[in-house]
Amino acid sequence: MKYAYFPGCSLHSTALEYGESTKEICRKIGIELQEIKDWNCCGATPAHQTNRYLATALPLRNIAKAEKMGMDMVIPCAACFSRSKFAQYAVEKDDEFRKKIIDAVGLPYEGKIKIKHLLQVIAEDLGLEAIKKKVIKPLTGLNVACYYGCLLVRPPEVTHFEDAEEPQIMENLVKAMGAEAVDWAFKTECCGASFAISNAEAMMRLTGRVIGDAILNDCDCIMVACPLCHANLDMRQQQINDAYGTNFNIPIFYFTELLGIACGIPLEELKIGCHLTDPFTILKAKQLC
Amino acid sequence: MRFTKEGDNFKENLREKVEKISNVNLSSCYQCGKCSAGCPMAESMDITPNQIMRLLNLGDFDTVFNCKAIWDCISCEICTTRCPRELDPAAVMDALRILSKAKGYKGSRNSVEKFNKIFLYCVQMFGRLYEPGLVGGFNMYNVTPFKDVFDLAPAMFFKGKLKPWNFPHIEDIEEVKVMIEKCNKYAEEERTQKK
Repeated sequence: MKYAYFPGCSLHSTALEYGESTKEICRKIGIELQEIKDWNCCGATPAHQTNRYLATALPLRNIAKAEKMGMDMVIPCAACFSRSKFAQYAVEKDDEFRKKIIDAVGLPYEGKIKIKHLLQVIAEDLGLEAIKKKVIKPLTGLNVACYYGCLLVRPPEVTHFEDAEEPQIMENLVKAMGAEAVDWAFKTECCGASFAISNAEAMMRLTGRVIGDAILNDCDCIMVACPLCHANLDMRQQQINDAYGTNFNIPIFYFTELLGIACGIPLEELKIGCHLTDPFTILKAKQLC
Repeated sequence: MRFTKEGDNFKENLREKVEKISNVNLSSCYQCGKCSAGCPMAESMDITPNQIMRLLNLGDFDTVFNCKAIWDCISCEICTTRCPRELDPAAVMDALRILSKAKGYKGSRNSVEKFNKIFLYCVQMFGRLYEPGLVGGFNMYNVTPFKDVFDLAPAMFFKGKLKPWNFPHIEDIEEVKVMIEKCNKYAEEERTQKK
């Protein structure tokens, strides 16, 4: 299975452990990733809040490059995934807009490839049965709260994700790894995303609620599939504790990291030590490291 | 309050522009309030998303362009997902931010807009995001120079997450710059189109 790989800016810097664990797990389970040459930033939220042409052209340039490679595109970042899907959707709907965008991008674009999130590639294209066969160290007794966040699932007509309110893809993956998925209320609520920088108070309120509800439902850790969710839930946990007087200390894992552990990849190669909230105590308690 | 049939709003066809940029038919909104009910930011907004839709239909653009709520919106798409009329309030918010900024409304001078500006400046310069530059630049521009500097930056640095010397680089940066310029030109045309 070969895919055109678009890592996105975060996976090269603040979310390096997501990038590393993605490469490691894909190698382990037989998904070949070919990074798109000279990809550019998808523009994220600032682009669509400023200029809808820019918000579409930036991701479309990457899609056009992937199309030239003749492969479907896989994206591990939920925000990049959302922007790329939006770009495809926007040019499908409006011919005049499409002409202008293709003129700006300056590359041929036909819209014939599919864009998938890494979760979909692993859980749907490769399949849970194949994953179960690769699991050599089941995560027995680990209670995982699966956190989807917003952009991965919404809006469904753009992202074509299975269900916008009650998705199950991460839960099914967690069960395939031998762990338990807890039932909780905030799995598709927003974490505040880039407000961490521009409106920190709002971000702390939203992320605080997400972590609080996960803990209320007796989870051992939260599993995410987005570098921004991880940045807010993991790196900002101490700031939230300082602001609200809480004592959150819950490890946040990328799904690629947990899957990597289950498939027997050494922790150093997954770069789990990069987390700011201690991930090792719970792994030791469950005899996973 | 001004109504659409008179005044500058009519001449500048603001309503049509909001509809064009957002691709939303405003009059389809039947004020069920589901957008505001689901909105994670509604509690801190000065006017709620459904009130914004109503004010737009009444033609009170000054209130809408100046409000804090359009900058409180995080674009989490809950409203768009749940709207029973299949409207796209998140896209309306985008259109309002774009027009509010273009027309120089006071409400558009805020930290979110500063963040957006620096983010896009990074993209224009490097083709990709340079995260240390984004945060540093924002802190200077927003006059909050020490935000995250003492509590977060050292920990991130020692964990290897912060590498200021690691500048992003792409070869076809000129191609990206031309693309951005063309996009700005198209967007400008759309914003300034007279009736």
